[in-house]
Amino acid sequence: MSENVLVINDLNVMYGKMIHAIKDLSMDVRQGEIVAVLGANGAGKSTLLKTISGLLKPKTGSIKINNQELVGIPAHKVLSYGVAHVPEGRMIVPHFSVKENLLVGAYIADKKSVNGNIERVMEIFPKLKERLNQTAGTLSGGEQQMLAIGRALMSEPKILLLDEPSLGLAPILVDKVMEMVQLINKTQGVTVMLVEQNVYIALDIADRAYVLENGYITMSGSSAELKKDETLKKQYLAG
Amino acid sequence: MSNIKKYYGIIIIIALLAMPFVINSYYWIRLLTTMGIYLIIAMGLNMLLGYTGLVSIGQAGIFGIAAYTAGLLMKNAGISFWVSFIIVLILGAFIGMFIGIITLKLKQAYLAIVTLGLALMTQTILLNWREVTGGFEGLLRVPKPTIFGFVIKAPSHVLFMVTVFCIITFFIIQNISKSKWGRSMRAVRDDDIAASMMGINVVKTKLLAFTLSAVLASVSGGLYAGLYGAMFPDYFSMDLSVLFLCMVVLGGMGTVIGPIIGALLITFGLEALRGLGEGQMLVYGIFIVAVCVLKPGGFVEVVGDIRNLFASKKRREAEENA
Amino acid sequence: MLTVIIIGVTVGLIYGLVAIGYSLIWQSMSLVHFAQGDLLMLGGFLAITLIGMKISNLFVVLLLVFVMMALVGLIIQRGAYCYIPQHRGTTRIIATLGVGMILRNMAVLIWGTRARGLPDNFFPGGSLKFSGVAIRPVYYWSFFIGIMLVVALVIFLYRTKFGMAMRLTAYNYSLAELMGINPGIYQTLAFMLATGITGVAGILVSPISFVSYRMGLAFGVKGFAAAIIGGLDSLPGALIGGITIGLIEVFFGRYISGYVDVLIFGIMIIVLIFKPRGFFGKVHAEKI
Repeated sequence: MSENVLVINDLNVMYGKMIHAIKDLSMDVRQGEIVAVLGANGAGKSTLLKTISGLLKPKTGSIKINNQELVGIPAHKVLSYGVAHVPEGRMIVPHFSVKENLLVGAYIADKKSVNGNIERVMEIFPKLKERLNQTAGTLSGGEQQMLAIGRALMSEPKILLLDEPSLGLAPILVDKVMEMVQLINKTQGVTVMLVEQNVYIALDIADRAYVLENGYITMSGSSAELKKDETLKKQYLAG
Repeated sequence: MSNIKKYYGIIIIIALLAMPFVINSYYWIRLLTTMGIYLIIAMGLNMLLGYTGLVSIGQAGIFGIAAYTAGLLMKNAGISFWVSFIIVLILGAFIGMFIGIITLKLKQAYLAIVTLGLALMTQTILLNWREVTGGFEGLLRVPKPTIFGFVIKAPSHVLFMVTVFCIITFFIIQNISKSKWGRSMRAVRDDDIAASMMGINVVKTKLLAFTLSAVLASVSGGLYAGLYGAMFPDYFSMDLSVLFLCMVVLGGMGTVIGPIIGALLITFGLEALRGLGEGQMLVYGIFIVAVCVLKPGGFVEVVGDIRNLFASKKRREAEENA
Repeated sequence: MLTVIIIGVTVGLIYGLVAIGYSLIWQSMSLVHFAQGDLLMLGGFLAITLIGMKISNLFVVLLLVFVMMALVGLIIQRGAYCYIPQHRGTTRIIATLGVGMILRNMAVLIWGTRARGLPDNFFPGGSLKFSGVAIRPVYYWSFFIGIMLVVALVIFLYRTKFGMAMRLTAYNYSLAELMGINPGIYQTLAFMLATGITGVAGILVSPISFVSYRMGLAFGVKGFAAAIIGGLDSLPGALIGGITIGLIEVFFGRYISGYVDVLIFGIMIIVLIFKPRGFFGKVHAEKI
C-alpha cells in the first residue's frame, strides 16, 4: 500500500461567523492516486482546495502533506511544500506570454531545472510549444487550462490540486484535458486531487472519489464502486 | 426623545447661547468662532462622507467661492448681508448639484481627486482673477452684517451669531439623519447596488448629499465674509479641506455628534500644539496617520471601545456575584 | 518653438516620473498615493543637501537619493499603510494626506521655508548647440537622467524575476500566493521603487523651478493629472501623459500664465469623467 501524500483530519472551515462551509472533514490521498472530490455547486469543493493551499484558514482541523502540517502556514509558502493549486477559472495571466506564465509557476523552483521543466511541459502539451511566445490571453479555453496545469507542473509538485478543470470547456476539450491529467499522473507520477462537478469524467480517470454535500462527506470509495452506486446515479447522472 | 434628554438639550443650548457673553478672553472667542464656522462645514461634509460614503477633498473650495461671492456682493454691489447670504446658499446648492451630477459614476479615490481638482481650480482662479478678487492681496473691507439696524461687529456678538447657526444646523442635520433620507444615505454608503435594489433612488440620495454639504459650506462662506470682513485665496487651500476631512473622520463618521467631537479635538488639539512652533503641523500629521492606523473608525469608535470595556466589566462582576 | 518643446519635455518628464510613481503604487496596492508630490520635494531637498556636502559625482548623488527615498518608502509602507485594510478606502486616503503633511513639515523643519536650487555648474559639460538653440547642460542631463530612470524601470519590470513577481502581485494577489510569491513583500518593494523613482526625479526640477516645501502640491496634482490622462493602469501611459502635460503647460503658459493650471486641472477632471481609465489604460479592471 502506497503511503499517504495528503491527510486531512476533522477539518472545519467557516465563512465569517455564520456559514459553516466544511464540517468535520477527513480524507486522505495516497501517493500516485487520482482522487476526485465530487459535489454540486456550493458543496464546499473549492473551499476545500483553497483551504489546503492556504488561501483560506480553517477553524479547526489538520492538513498534512507527507506528514508536515499545512494549517497555519502562510499561503505563499504552501507551494514549497509541494502542493500546487490550479485554481478555478485557471487564472492565467492574459497579458503575459505563454512562456512567462510558465516561468511564473517556476518562481520558487531551482534556476537550473527551469529550462528542463519547460521542455517537459512542452512535451506533455505540444500545443503550448507552438504558442510559446504568444500572449496567453489569445489562447483558447482548453489551451489555457493546459497552460494552467503546465504552470503548476513547473514547480515539480508532489500533489496537484485541480479545481474544476472542465468548467467552461467544450466536451471535446474536456476529454483532452482529462487525458492529459491521466498522462501526467501515470508518466510523471504526480498525485492528483481533482474537484469536479462533472461526475462522469471525474470517475473515468479517478482511482477513488469522495462526495461532498453541504460541507460533509456523504460517500467515498473506489470509482468503480461509486459508478455503480444507485443514489449517486440518480442525483448526478440524471439527464 | 426622552424627557431627560430634552431637558439637558435645552440646558446645553442655553449654555451655548450664553457662552459668548460670559467668556472674556478675545482669544477664546475668536477660536470658538472659527471652530463654529468650521463645524458647520464639517457637519455638511459628514453628510457627504460619513453618511453617504462620498469623499470630498474640496469643501474649502466651495467655502471660498461662497465667501468671495458674498464678500463681493456686499462690498461692490452694496447688497445686504442677508440677501447675499441667501444668494450664496442658492449658488452653493447649484454647485453641489453640479459636482454631484458630474461625479455620479466615479468611485472613491477618483471622486476625491475630482473634488480636489475643482477646489484647486477655484483657488487658482481666485488668485489670478485679480481685477475681481484682488488676487493675493485679498478681498478686504467687506461690510459687516446688520440685523434690524444693529451692526454685528463685537467679537462676542459674532460668536453668538455663529453659535446660533451651529445650533440650527445641528437640528437640521439631526432631522435629516433620522429621516428616510438619512437611512437612504447610509444604505448607499454601505452598498449602493443593494440600495438601488431595495428601491432607494441612489442618484437622488447622492445629489442630496452633495447639495447639502455644499449649502452648508456656503453658509459658512457667507458668515465668514460678513463676520470676518477679509479673505485671501491662500486660505482656501487643500490643507483646509483636509482639516475638514479630519474633523469628520477623527470624530467618527456617520454620527451626528461626530463632527462636533472632531471639531473640538482638532481645534483645541492644534491650539495645544501651537507652542511647538514649526513642529505643530508635523505632530498634527503624525496624529492623523496614527489615528488612521490604530483606530480607523475615529474617536467615536474609541468611545465605543471604552463603553464595551465597562460593559464587559459589569457583566463579569454580575457573573461573579451570581 | 524648439525652446518650448525642450522645456516642455523636460518638465513633462518630471510629471511623467511622478505619474509613474502613482501608477506603480496604484497597480500594486490599489492605492491613490496623495503624498507622491511631496516625495518629489523630499528627493529634491536630499539632492541639494548631498551636493552641499560636496558630493560632486552626479551618479553617486542619484544613487544615494534613490536609496534614501526607497528607505523612506519602506518606512511609510511598513509603518502605516500596510496596517490599513484595503476596504477602508477613506481611511487610506486620509493616511496618505497625513503622510504628505508629515513630509512637508519635516522638510520645513530641516530645510526651512526658503526655496533652494541646485548650483548651476553642477551638471558637467557645455551647452549643446542644436538648430540654432543653445541647450544648457542642466536640460540635457535632466532629460538623460529621466530617460535612464524609465529604461531602468522597464528592464527591471520586464526582464527580471523580481519584476515579474511584482507585476504578478499587482495583477492578482491570491494568484501570486499560489505561485509561492509573498505578495506583501512585493507590494512593499513596488512602493519603495515608486518612492525612489519619484524622489530621484526631484533632481530634475532644478532647471525649471526651485525646490521648496510647497512644490509637492503643484507637481503632485499635475503629475496625477498625467497619470489620469495616460491611465493609472499603464506605465507608458503615465510617461506620455506627463510629457503631454508638460508641453501643454509650457505652451499655453505663455498665453494664459497662472490660468494654465486651471486648464490642466480641467482636462484632468474631464478625462476622469469621460475616460476614467485614461487613454492607455485597460478598459476592464482586471484587479482582484
